[in-house]
Amino acid sequence: MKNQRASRIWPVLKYGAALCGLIVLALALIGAGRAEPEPEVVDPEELELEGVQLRLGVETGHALGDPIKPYVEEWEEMTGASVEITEIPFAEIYPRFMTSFHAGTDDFDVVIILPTWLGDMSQFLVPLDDLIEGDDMAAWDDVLPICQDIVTWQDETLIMPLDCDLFMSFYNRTAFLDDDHRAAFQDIYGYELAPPETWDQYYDIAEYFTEEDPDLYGAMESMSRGTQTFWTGLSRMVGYVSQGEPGALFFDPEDMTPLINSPGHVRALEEWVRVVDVGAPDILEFDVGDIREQFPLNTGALALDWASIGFIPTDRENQELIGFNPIPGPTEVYDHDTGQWIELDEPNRVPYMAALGWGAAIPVTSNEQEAAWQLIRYLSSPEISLKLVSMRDNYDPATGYQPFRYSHFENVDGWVESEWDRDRAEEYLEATFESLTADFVKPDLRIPGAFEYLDELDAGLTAALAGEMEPQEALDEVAERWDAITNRKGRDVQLQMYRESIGLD
Amino acid sequence: MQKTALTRRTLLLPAVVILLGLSIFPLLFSLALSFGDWGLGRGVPYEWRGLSNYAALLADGRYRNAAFNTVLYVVITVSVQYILGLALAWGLFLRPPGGRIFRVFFIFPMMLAPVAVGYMWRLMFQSRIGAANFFLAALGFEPVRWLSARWFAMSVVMMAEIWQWTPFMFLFLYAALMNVPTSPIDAALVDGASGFQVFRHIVLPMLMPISIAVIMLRAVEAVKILDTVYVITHGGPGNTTESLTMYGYNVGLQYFNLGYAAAIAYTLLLVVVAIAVPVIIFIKKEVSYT
Amino acid sequence: MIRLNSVQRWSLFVALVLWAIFVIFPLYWMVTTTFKLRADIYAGPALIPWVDFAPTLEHWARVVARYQQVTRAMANSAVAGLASAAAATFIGGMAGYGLTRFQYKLGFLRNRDIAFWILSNRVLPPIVLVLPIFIMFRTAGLVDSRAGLAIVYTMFNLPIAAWLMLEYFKQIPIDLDESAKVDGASYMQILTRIALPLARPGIIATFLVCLMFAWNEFIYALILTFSRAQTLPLVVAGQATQHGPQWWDIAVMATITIAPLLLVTILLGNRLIAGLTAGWGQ
Repeated sequence: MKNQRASRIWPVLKYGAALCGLIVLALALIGAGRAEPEPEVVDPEELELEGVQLRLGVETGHALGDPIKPYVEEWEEMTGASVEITEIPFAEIYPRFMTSFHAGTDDFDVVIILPTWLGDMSQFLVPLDDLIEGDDMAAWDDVLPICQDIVTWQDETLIMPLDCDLFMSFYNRTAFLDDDHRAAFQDIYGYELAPPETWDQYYDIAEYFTEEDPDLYGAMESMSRGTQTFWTGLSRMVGYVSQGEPGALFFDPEDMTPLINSPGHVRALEEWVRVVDVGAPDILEFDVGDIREQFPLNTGALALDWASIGFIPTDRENQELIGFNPIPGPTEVYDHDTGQWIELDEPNRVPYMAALGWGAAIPVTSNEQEAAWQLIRYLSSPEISLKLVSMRDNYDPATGYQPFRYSHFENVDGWVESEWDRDRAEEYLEATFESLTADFVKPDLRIPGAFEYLDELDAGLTAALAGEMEPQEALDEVAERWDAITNRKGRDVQLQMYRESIGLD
Repeated sequence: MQKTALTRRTLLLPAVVILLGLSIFPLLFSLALSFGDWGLGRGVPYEWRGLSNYAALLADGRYRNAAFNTVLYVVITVSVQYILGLALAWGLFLRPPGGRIFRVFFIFPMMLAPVAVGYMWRLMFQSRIGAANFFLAALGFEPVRWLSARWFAMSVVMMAEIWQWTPFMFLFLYAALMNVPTSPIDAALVDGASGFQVFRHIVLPMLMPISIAVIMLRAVEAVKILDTVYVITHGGPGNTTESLTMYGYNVGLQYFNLGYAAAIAYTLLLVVVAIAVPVIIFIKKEVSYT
Repeated sequence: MIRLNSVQRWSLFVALVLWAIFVIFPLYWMVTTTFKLRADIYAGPALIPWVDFAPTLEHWARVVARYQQVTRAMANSAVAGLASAAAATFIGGMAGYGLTRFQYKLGFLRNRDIAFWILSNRVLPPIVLVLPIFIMFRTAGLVDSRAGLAIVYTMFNLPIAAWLMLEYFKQIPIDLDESAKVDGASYMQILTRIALPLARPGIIATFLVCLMFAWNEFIYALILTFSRAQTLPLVVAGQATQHGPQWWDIAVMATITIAPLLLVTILLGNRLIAGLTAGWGQ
């Protein structure tokens, strides 16, 4: 009897199991099938790439992903290859690529990355030196030397630059040229209202506009956690502790002792914290995106940001609003060796290459390295990269690509063609070029674990800015955590990498 | 007889296989990781480090802070969710006008993606452009730095969690309430008991087992709080609002310090089990007595 | 039944309306944000369209222009969500039915222990599991596939599905089975004629709960997908770029992400409540 009943429940189970199987099968089919058909464009001249499929990983959205799309499409049509673009949120790019590299999976043929990650990523990337050598399209000699240096790791060029980053300060030209403001400022502060050269002037100006002009916020800077606050902070700190000598910003190049809590760093942070009171009321929630959206609306007097012209409003209106100014500096610099402050005649304005600049690289796991190289040399070529950096086909106010070639700086006509006002473009290019070719330019940290070191710094800085910790206390904690990272990764290895990355060995 | 046994097994087998397959290997793997360090495959081989990861946790201020925050998140959000959920369930139980529409409205938040909810709340609590300070100003209050001061930022995260998961409490408590036998209630009412007395002395005791179950379920989920913190504060300012999973996520999936991340995750797991097991045993007893 | 006088009735009503406003307002704020120009968003709070700000379709137009990304993510979310919810409900239902109708012994584990073990899988934090699963999936070629996501979602929904179905089947008296047996019904007939029809509200409720969790899941999708299998919550998070959160785009994507489940809730919400009500008696 029981047997019989059981035999009748069997069919149900069998159907159930079959159904399950079908679901899994259907899923597998869906998963295997591609969501979109590939375009088939035949170009008789470059048949060798016909049918080649490349996968390119880039940050999502307006700043980096969108701007390259028109040129990638152009290249697809020229070559017959197809490119699948994976867009990744900023906070996940480094982890995503690292997961893929470590796991040895063949997920990407081209990755658009920051050189600051080279310490961790170098072993997974194809050296490009032989390919670059004598390649007209790559036009290596056209790339500014400093922009070449940052993509080189242990004598190998691993990234083809698409960008060369630099922190700058910006001022509201309309407000600065206003006669009433000029007179009032002169009255109160006893000197002329002009683009700030020192951090003291920067503070005065911000204070002035906060108090005297209800429509303008004194300053706009990135100050929130998990954005790029540490880069703004380092851009400020660098002038307090370095006159261009290597190894004064992060670690002691003799023994990897963190310098981040030195009196110089602490004073820089103390002075930075004061800006909170004269900045936008919600400045503690700002990241650079907020600056780029709001400053062009004529709501701020001063701002700190990358020199991205993305800073300029979408429709190229209000171009006359934004003034470019190399980053201000302090008038004293701290000397780590003697433990003394040195008085200077001129403000110590050290341009900081925060993040160093996006560029394209080829993972060693790629099976299409030749085609990948064809794509990135095309994107980085003088002709195409000029369109990228001048936002020729992109009207979004957030491009992440800045000029990095001599030809970008020389070819002002190209910028005018991208609908820039000639004078504005010239001022912008001049300020940028001056900074990039300055005697002291400070590159960003590139050793293994850079991401982690900088994230800890981000925590310390945001805690101090928000008033949750005193600057000294916050930076002491950062130093302690940096030491822990160094110890875990091996002090000797880290020291050697650090010395190499700043050109000491 | 043979086939009954087969049937019996077949019913349970798929669930057991899937859960074992997708949890036992990862659990053992993580356990091994927590006693060492490993670089995800290439290059660096697995390195045994004994208890050093756990020892490091003890000295780690960021870990202690994250653990403390997690406890706060769990205790405050879950108890508020329970009280509100119970109040709403009781309110609807009293058959107000429009009850059927209300109850659908009330379960909306739990159906929405926590990531989207996080952004929704972050947008509302932006100190200058958000709605929260706008209403405060309308009521004559000073604007508040919601997202950039530790306790305010934590309270925004908690509000988002409460907004999202009170419906979960409501839903289950309401379902249980609808099944409460009416005769004891009616009898008490006949004896002249007030509505509140009925609630306090008759309904609440009957809801006890289900209350414990939903509180435990929510607590276990709340310990894993990640999406809302990730979106609303990203742990900031500093690391002051970081939760344990957020810290674990940073260490494991951002810094790739896999061993340490596994140790963090395992302590979390132990805490969760420590919460869950006594409650489960308690429920078993309750159930077997009634 | 407790009867309220009209003052009590209406004050209760007002209290519930206040809560409803609290529930609805964040949604309202987000949806109106999708119609605000960037400048209006940054100008400060604006509540009512046409009064406080001039609505624009600019942000929606931009999403429509690159609709492929959205439709692909939606298809991924739908496939992974529906398939995993169906699988979890089915497999969980089998386990739940088995555990209420048979006596099991797995080593020292009895029914109650097995049920507890199944539920306890819900306790595991995704950050413990996700990297090892990534490694397993890499070997199996399941990374960045809808199938992979569906499998993981089935796994993480299974505990709650099994538990809900178990509670549900408990409510269906075994007496019914027994009397059906006495009347000569087969197991198959008992299952299809008695258990399944009676369990239908529970199945619907369980399915909805699983669908909700899978549709909204973030951390597994973040690690286990690249582009092809990307789901909607990832696209929402993806609008926070290196250059800060693009509020207008975030609002649009978040609205798109939550709309389907809002719709489902409006249509099936009462069934969900009815299902849980029927299953959650004693």
